[in-house]
Amino acid sequence: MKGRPIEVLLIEDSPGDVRLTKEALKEGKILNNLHVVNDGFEAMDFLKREGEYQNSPTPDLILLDLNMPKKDGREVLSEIKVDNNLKMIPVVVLTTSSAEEDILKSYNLHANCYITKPVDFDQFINVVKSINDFWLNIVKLPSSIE
Amino acid sequence: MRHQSIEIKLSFWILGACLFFGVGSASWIIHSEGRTRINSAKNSLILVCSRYKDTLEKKIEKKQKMGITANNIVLQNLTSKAAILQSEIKKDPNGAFRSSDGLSGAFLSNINTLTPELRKTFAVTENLWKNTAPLLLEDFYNFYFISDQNFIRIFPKDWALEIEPDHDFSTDIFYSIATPENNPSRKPMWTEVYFDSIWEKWMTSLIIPLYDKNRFLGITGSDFILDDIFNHIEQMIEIEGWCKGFLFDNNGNIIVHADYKNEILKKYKVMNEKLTSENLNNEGLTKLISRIAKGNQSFGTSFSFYDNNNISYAVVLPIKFLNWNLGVYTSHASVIKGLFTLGWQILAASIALALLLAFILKYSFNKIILKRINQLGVGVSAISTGDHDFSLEVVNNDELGTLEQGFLDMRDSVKEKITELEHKNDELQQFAYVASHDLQEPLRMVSSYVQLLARRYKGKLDEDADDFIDFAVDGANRMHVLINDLLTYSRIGTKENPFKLISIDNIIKEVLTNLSVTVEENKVEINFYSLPSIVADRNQFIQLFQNLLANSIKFKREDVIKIDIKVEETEHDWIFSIKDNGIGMDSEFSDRIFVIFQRLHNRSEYPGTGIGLSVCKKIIEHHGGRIWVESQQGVGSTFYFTIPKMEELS
Repeated sequence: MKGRPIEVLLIEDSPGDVRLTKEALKEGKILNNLHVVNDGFEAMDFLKREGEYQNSPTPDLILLDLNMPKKDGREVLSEIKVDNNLKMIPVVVLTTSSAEEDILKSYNLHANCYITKPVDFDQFINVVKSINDFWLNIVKLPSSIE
Repeated sequence: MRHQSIEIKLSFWILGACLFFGVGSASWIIHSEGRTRINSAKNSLILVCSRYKDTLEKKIEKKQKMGITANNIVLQNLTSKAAILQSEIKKDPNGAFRSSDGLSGAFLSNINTLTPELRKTFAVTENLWKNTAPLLLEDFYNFYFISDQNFIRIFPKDWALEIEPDHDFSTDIFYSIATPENNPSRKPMWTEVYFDSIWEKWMTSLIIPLYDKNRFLGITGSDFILDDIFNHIEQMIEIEGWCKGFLFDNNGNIIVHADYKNEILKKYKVMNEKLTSENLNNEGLTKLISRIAKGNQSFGTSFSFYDNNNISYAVVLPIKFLNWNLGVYTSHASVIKGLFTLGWQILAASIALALLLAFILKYSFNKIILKRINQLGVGVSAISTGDHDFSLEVVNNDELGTLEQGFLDMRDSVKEKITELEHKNDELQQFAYVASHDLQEPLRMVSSYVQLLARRYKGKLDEDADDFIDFAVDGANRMHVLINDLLTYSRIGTKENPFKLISIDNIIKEVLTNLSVTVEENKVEINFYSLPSIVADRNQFIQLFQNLLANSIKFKREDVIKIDIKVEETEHDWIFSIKDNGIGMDSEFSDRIFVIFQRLHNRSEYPGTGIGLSVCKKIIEHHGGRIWVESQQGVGSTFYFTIPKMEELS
């Protein structure tokens, strides 16, 4: 563990899912700083520290839902991955869709991984735990993100 | 190329028709031309025969007139004039009397005595012959008078000097022929033809009786050499070329025939016989001559006979004054000569015409019709393979033009319908996607929060609450499977993956890996023998075999599950079969099991959504094949499906 808490940005429009993710983190006893934005525009504001997010931290991990109003997850993903300041942040696409074209498109847009939200809550807890373990404990990321 | 066969068929028809008419007209022409030629040949025969008959008759008539004139002169001199004998009458040792003045000669047989009256005859005839003989010689070979007293005066003299002394003229044909007993009508008589061995010439004699009022005095006679007449007839045959001529008398003796010249000569010359038609060794001609000689055949018309077995046509005409007949004939073969060549020429011409017609028709047919039909054919196959933008030019307003316009209208209508269908299909796909996302999202909410409820509050509320939570979780899970299956089902047919060459062996191995848990839990024996590689959607085929094998395992009957996977090959298809030893089913359900959501068993017996086989059916149909089952309750099921052999699209 580093000297500061881990910052995770959850880009998700559904309050149910936000709560579920929070509950899963709680059930999994994972103590991270979870930031939540509800659409693509807010997400980009957060990442670029614009608008009301002037003082937001640079996230260590982004959990991205694909289907959102206004600006959807695909657009957000492509904007992140072409932005030199942001493209190194690992983006985990966490969505309900298991459609082949969504998976393909996400990887084409340089998503770091694609995960379909399991219907089963226990499995969901495992997924959230796994993401946390893998990206924040196992994977070695460049120090510039920190 | 279908249009070529129409061309060929048409060409054959034209060729056949032309040949038919060619052969028909050739044989008709040969037939009618043959008739024409035969008729004209018969007419020509009549003409030729009449012409030579006339010539012959004129010659003979002329001779006869002269003979009669000379006869009259002799009669007048014998009865009225007295004359002085210049030369001496010598009595030879045998008692015959002979006299000669260097020009003519006279003879009196020793049967008779030299009376004063006969002495006068010696003198009268000598004078007469002296004056007339040189004139007569222009037309007569000789000229003689034979009296009923066995006296003869003849020019030239030689015969009178050489004749045997006791010669009795009454037995000679050239005398007896005109005696009152043999010739009561007193007409000029012609002897039969004979060959004079002294002169070596063909001869006939004109014998005219001499009457002083009613007293028979004797005859005047002259011999004619017939060689010139015979030569004339032979020449005629040479000149005419196409026909043969012959002369015969009413007794059936051949007098002239170019083909039998030697035979005739031999008979007359050597044996002094006549060549009868029976000796001809030509049965047809023999019959012909004997028929005429017997008067069984009328003159002047043409008739057919066999000349040495060759059909021939003949015309025979009688010669006046003589009992002769002139015949001309020609063979059928020479009449129709060249006719078959003509026939062949017509046939060849009609074949040439047929070929020309066939070529022209093929060319124009191709230009007017086949090209356009071909274009339509290309259009139809273009549309059938999905090219709905194919266009063609409607050049003409004819029947084909209507067809072409109809084709274009049909193309537009098909295009419109297909666009509509594609649109609807897109909508359905969209619906499937929307269903997957929008149904799963709330389902996941329900399911997750019910589970969260269970986690946190199980055992903390009452027993009912726990049951309710369990049912809610179970329902949510089932709905999740259902939605996923429905999604899979609706996705088939979108062709999101191109068809590729895939090894069915590998597919089955992969399916067994996917099903490894189930396979390990059961005793499964799967047999498959070198299955082919086919062109298909890989993922769909994994799904297909997975569903079928999972079914075979799920509906097991015995502890050991036996599955045989086999393939048969036909010209266009592969036929796969998956045979198991499971519970099987009644054949009445063999269609129903492929319908979506149709189940034969209670969910508690065999879990499932009832989508698996309908997915299989949809996959097979998407590949253009057919799926069916043959099953027996309590024995097992065999699932069959066909897959058309396809080429991999690059």
